[in-house]
Amino acid sequence: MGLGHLRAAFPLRRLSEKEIIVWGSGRYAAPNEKKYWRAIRRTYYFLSRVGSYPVLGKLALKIIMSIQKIPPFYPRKDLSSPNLAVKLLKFLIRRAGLCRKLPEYLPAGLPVIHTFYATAIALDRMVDRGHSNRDNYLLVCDADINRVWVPEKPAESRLKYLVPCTQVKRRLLSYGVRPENIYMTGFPLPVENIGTESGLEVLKIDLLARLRRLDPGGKFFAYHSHSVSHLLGLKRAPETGDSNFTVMFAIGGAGAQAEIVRLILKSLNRSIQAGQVRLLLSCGVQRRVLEKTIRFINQEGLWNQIDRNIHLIFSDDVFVYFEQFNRWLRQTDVLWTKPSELSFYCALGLPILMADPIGPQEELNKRWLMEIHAGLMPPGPPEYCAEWLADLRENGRLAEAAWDGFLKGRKLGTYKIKKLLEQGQYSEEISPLKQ
Amino acid sequence: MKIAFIIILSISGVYLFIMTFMTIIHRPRRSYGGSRKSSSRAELLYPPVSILKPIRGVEDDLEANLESFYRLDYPVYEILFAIDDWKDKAVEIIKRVSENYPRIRTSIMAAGHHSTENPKVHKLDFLEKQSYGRLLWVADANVRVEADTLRSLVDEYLKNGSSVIFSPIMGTCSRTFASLMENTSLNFFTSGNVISLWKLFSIPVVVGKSMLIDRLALKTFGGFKYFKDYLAEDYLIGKSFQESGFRVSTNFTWVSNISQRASLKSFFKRMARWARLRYQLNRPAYLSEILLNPLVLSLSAVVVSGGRFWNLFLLVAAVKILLEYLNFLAVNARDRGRLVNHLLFPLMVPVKDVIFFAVYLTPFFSTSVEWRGGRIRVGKNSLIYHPSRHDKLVYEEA
Repeated sequence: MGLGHLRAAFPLRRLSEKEIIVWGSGRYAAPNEKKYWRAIRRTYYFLSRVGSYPVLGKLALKIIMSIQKIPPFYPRKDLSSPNLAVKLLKFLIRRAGLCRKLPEYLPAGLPVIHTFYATAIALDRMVDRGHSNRDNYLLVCDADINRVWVPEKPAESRLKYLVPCTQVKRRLLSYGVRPENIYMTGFPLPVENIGTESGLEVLKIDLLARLRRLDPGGKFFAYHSHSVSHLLGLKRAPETGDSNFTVMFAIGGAGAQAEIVRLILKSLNRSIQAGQVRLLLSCGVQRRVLEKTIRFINQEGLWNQIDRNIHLIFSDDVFVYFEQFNRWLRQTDVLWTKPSELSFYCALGLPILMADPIGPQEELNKRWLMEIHAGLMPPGPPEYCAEWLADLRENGRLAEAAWDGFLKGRKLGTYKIKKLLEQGQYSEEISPLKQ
Repeated sequence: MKIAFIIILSISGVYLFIMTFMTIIHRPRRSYGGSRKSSSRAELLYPPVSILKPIRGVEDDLEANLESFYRLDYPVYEILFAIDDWKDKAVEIIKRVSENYPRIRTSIMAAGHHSTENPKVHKLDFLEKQSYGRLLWVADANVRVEADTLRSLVDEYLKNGSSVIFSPIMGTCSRTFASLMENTSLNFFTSGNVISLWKLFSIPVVVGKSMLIDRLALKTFGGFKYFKDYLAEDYLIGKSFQESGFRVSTNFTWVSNISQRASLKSFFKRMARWARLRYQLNRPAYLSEILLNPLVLSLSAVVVSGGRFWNLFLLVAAVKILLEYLNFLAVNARDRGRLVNHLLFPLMVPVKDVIFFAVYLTPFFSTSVEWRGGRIRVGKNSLIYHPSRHDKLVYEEA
């Protein structure tokens, strides 16, 4: 389980009877099970890290890719027969007793939401065998998924899926999941960045301010001012505004993008010193990544800009880190990240500048972001980002991506999941303000 | 076999000789020659310093130790003390000393105790928030300094822009056999390595007894609390700062560690705690530490060979005692004035080295350390284990 799976769970923390259970961590899971999780985690982090090195690194990356491979969707066909990953997971659940102790940690009768497939599928097997009759939900964290997210015999499974986008729904159907077990809720986003379900107050205020900062030349507003006024409920047409803007670069949980920070700092050095650009560096929860980032800042002589025009987002407590991250996101104008689960944050009206994806699911997240026009590929190498960021901003591309993400992305996942659990039903909407 | 032993002992001998030589070259001075007060303008160059003192209980000669900090020749500084609670007997002594120096701002704070955090870092985090100095000087309760020590440390900061300045430690004021062992091990083993590793490989070995830290650089990490989950906070402060591109250095300004009445038990416990931490911080380096104990190495050669290497053992013992004695003469000015210390020295060194070997083995059997009234289990990098911090542990190992 990586940072992405925990990030998906974090907005749902207030729904929980107990707390977020990190299965396989110190407190949860039997001692002999921990070693499996630890080995999986270490291997994943290691392979992600070395992926940028030539030959052996690339080979390691290929191994990850092949395990996580997602078959082409077209031509449409029945993909319900289990692949190697499904059989391996089944073996681990059956023989190694993976997640065997899980029910002991769950309050009786209450539904469970998983953000990682292994615990969901293990519990689904126990439900089948009459160990429990609770509702068992699996929240999908990407725009497309591998067959491993679905049990061996999907038609017989009672596992219910909370899906972030239409493509995942289609994919689950092709894997043989029954339609009544698929709920198109959207990805759960932090409500502190949204406001109320009916008003979206926080989101609207932040988005308007962002659009003004992202469109200093007024090109975006020339096309869209009426629809912006209408949807954001403004009494008069918005004006273009501030000259400064804020870029957040999210270094992945494994720290694979740390090297890019050096190039970004080099390019943005003058703009940062002049106060024209504010750079937020999201370092996650690993001290190694934070220290490397500080080293790059020192090398560029930008140390005096820390806590002024450079801010480091870090905590060794993963949930404190998410809180900080969400708070800073409100002031962010461009989110530069690999297309991970953060792709769905485009619905907050954030243009996503996509770093190179790692793994097939991120490739497909990238495709999804391109399809809805909320994601942009950097038009040049990161060492020249000062130049091309200025161009993207000047011609209104970033503002357009922010607006498209807001229009087409599902914002209310957290609210819809809550309603589904509380009332057993939810509504699928098309309106940008209600989906 | 014989050749192998001779090679190992030769490596050991060469390093110990270099270590002794380096320590003598950089031995403590009566005055560090820090820039003298030349003009009021020059005085302005020295930034305000906050001296942070985490205290627990009454250490040997605490009053004199504290007094030395009130007699510093430095333009502007304050002294902040953190205790667990107001029942601490040290409070009375702190108040008594500080009342004699009303011009120096003194604050005493009860920081409480946090069961899942490094108790010292918990206090430092508390003190950091209450302090105003541009530089923070962390100094333990059993540390004593000269009038110009702070000025000399700040000179290094002004000269090289270092963000962490560390010091070799002079163990001194021995009144018992165990104290003599403890102080000699600090002067020979600890400070010898602090100096040699820095001179030879630019490796900073930061000892928490004295650290001068640039507050703004520390703020980059979020303050002292960045280190709260680790028991070896001093080592990690040096490592984290260096790996983050900040300059970490020393100008060999020594501070004194007062150990008067240590017992064999307290000596063993302290050494065992440090050994376990070093083991968790860097295992290859820890394993190679056995080379610094040639006396035990040669004794094991005697045992393995069925008594053939007695001559070698006696030679090694003589050389080791000589090297440590040279260190003693060069470093420990206070103790060399007592005849009894000279008389005990030839016996003390072999006993100490045998105890050191027993201490050396302890990390292989236990990961728990006893410190400041409790037992703490430590993991990689001296991470304090606590069941409630599950998420942190998950990501620490990644």
